Amino acid sequence: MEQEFRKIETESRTLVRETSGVKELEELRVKYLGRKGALNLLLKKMGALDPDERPVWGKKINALKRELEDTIRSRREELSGQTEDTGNFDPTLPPELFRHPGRNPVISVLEEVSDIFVSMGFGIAYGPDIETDYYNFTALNFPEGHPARDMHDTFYIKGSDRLLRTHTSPVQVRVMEKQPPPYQFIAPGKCYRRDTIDASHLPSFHQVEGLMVDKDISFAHLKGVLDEFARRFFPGETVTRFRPSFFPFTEPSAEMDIRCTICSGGGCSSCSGKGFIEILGAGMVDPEVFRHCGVDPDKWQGFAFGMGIERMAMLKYGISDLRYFFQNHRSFLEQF
Amino acid sequence: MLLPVEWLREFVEFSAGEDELAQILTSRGLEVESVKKTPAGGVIEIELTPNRGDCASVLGVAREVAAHFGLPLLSPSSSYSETGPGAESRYGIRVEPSGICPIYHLKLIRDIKVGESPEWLKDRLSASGIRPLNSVVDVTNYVMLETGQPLHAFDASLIGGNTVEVRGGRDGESITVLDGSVHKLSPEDIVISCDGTPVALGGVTGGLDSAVKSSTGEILLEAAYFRSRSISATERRLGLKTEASYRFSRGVDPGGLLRALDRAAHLLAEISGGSPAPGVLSHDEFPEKETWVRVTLSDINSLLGTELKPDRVVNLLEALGFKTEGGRELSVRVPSYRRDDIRRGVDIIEEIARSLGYDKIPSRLPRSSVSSALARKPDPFTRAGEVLGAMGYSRCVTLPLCGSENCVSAGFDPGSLILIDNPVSVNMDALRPSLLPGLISTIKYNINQGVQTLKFFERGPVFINSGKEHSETRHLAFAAASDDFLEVKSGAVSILDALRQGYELEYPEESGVFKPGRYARVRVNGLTAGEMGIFGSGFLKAMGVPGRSLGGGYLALDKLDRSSASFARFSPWSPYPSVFRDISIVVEDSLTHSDIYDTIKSAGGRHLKRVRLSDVFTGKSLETGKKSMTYRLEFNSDERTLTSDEVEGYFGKVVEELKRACGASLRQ
Repeated sequence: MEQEFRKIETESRTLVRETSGVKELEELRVKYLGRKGALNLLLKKMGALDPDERPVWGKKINALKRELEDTIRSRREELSGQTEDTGNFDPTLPPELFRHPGRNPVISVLEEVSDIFVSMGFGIAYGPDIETDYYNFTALNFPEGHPARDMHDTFYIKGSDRLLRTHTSPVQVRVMEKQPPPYQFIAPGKCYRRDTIDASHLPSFHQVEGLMVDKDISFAHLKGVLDEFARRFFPGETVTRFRPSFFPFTEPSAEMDIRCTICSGGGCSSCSGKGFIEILGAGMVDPEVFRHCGVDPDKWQGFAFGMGIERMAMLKYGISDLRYFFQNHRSFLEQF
Repeated sequence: MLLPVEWLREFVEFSAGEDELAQILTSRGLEVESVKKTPAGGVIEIELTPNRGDCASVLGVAREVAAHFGLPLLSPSSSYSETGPGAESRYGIRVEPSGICPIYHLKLIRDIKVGESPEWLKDRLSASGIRPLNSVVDVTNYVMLETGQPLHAFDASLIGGNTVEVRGGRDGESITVLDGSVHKLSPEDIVISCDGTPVALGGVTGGLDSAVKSSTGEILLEAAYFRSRSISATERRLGLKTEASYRFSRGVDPGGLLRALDRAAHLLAEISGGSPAPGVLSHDEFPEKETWVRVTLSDINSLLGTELKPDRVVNLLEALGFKTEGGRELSVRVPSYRRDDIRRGVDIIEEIARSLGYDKIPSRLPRSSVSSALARKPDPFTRAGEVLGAMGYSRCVTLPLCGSENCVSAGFDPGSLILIDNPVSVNMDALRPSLLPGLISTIKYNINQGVQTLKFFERGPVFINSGKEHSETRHLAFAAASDDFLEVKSGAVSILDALRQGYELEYPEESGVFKPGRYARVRVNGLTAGEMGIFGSGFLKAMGVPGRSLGGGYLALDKLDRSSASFARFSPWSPYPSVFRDISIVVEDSLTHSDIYDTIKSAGGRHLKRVRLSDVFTGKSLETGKKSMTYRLEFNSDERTLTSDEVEGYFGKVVEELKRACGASLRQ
């Protein structure tokens, strides 16, 4: 047994090392490792051995088997690498690609804006697109006949006293009517204004409005939350500016601008020479609005804000014309 | 509103340049839209918010600039000498009903010589966007721009009778106004009338017949205070916006009427040779003369998040023309030019913030208090979009408005449409009853643009008029250039599977906008929750894409189970190997996959885990009217490895049952 094993061991190691062809290597594999190969025959002969010696030889033979398997495998790789023709394959050929259909920029920005506020602890509320005059205007302190209503050209529903909401602020009223403060939520959704379509007007667009009300929520908090939002939403260093404005449902009212990233405030065509770009409207909730919703304005105070999503997408992605958003050109959609 | 900067400098002697001025005004809430530099000096364009009627004038803006720099506000000269008998010797005023116009003044000016205005005056009008006409009309416009008070000059010889009447319009009455347009009047309009004939549309524009002409020698100069709401209602109703109505609808200063008349009389005496008669004819029943508002220092600091001291607050307010009494508990007297806008403590707080500058208010994050009731819930339908995205569909957002006529010709029920009362065009006179027309239009647009990949989907609301109510429901729809029903079916079914939504499919003959026989309906919990198919040619023709093969479908998301997708539960799978058996059978062509599938499923026993159709074949080797179908059956047990004898047994039952129930013969 000893002799036979040694012989096979030396011979097989030498032959495997010295073979020069894949075919010869396969012959060697059959000769030593095949079902009727030399090592298997040797294993069968172990029956004649002393029972004490059997496991010792078993181990030895199996170890050699594994060793030969490994060397034959690596030798085969070496040999085939040398002989196989690699010249025919062009690895620079283009693979078949999955063309990502893109993310709709309006939906993307809507979700991104929502995510930022949600991460600051805001909830989300929704309301209907078809609204009543009360929720859209009266409860928000737009008195009948007030020129502030002219700021919102409204679509009315035929044969009904309903209208298409001109902003998502009615959702604030609906929530405040239903549950007591504190509040901290945003209301995303579609809005409608009676505008003919051009580069800067669409009859339907998206808004995200927000409301935060508690015992001590102040204008300083309005600035803090919206500053934080602007820093997270716009890339790079964002400089904000708040200036007085007018909305019937807030007092004081403000608009937030960011410093134009193209000219850094010097004035250019992107910001129509103003150095700043208007981002959103905001303000402290007017006590009249609280009263309409059954919230005591002597106990609660807070701020509201609202922004147009298409506008934010235009600023973020450098889109110049609102019409792209509803045309849905595949080349437009695939870019985002 | 256009404002020549040199005019502003007449009343405040500030040294800042135009660009700095623009920044200052913007920071005080008077947003400067543009700064134009002209040879005569800079002209700034201000976009006034509706609450700032007090700034619709050079003097109003000058007041803000003076407050900002702490400079005095100078007044224009308004002195003149009066001659002859007063207007009351010949004219009277009647206001009927008296509430319609709280203040109405007329000043008589004789010996007018109408001519051309001097250059300086014409230049300022032109720079402000008003075309110079003649020396009388120019002065009324000039004074309006300067003081914010609209004035109107009547040719005294052209108005009949001696009583100037202010009243509501009468049905059937009409007036030809200065621009030549004719307007029918209604009782809501305010009319200035003489001898029963309307001579002006109060607060908006004058009548053509009583306008000042070159022959005019005597004028009645009108300064009135109309309520902003009634003027903006007339503005809207008649579609007539003028410089006067712009100011009245924002509110003019009830305390400024006489000053404006004096200023105009001064200028007319100077440039048109006019001789003002003494005094004015007046109707004045303006109610309260002073408005006082209370506000506490703690309210101010609490709302703004500031720590302002009492004297600072007082200084900020007094710079804007407010008078104050008290310190921590303030009583504030509102100047007459702000009385329309400022009535409450919170309005005073806004003035303080504005005067302080919003940039001086700190920026602070609140302590966050998460509101659980409104906390965002995970969207149960995200996977639907993921599945379609992976299939190469792009998500669209189309306009939710559509053309009713188009919808009806495309096959939608006219009664189910929600119509817009005041549409901008016939293509957008209804709310969409379905997402599919928008998707077809998107495909049409992309075809015209030469786009190759025509696969789109949208998720959004659709609107149905059920007669009783206007319902809004959420839909998800997709459409693609395809004539392969199974491709479309794959879209719908893959979504439902990804959502873990249980459903049934029906194949009704009545197929709506879809092609008969290439149509399926999704049923969930006994209700129709979606449809799919290849679109019918009539529908595609109505949608403007005749001759195309398009398919698609939609799911009514509100009818799906919201919990199934968002709430998954783990279930273990079998650790034992499956045994597969293939079977090829020949059956009648009319027999459906669904019939065969059901037969196999019910005959296969509890270890038959999956049945998959792997091939359908008709052809020359088969009898006509027959088809061959090959199924792969997977057997598996959760408890042990199945033996082949066992599986043979189950398989035999399947074969037997296929022969018996489906008349199938085995194909070798």
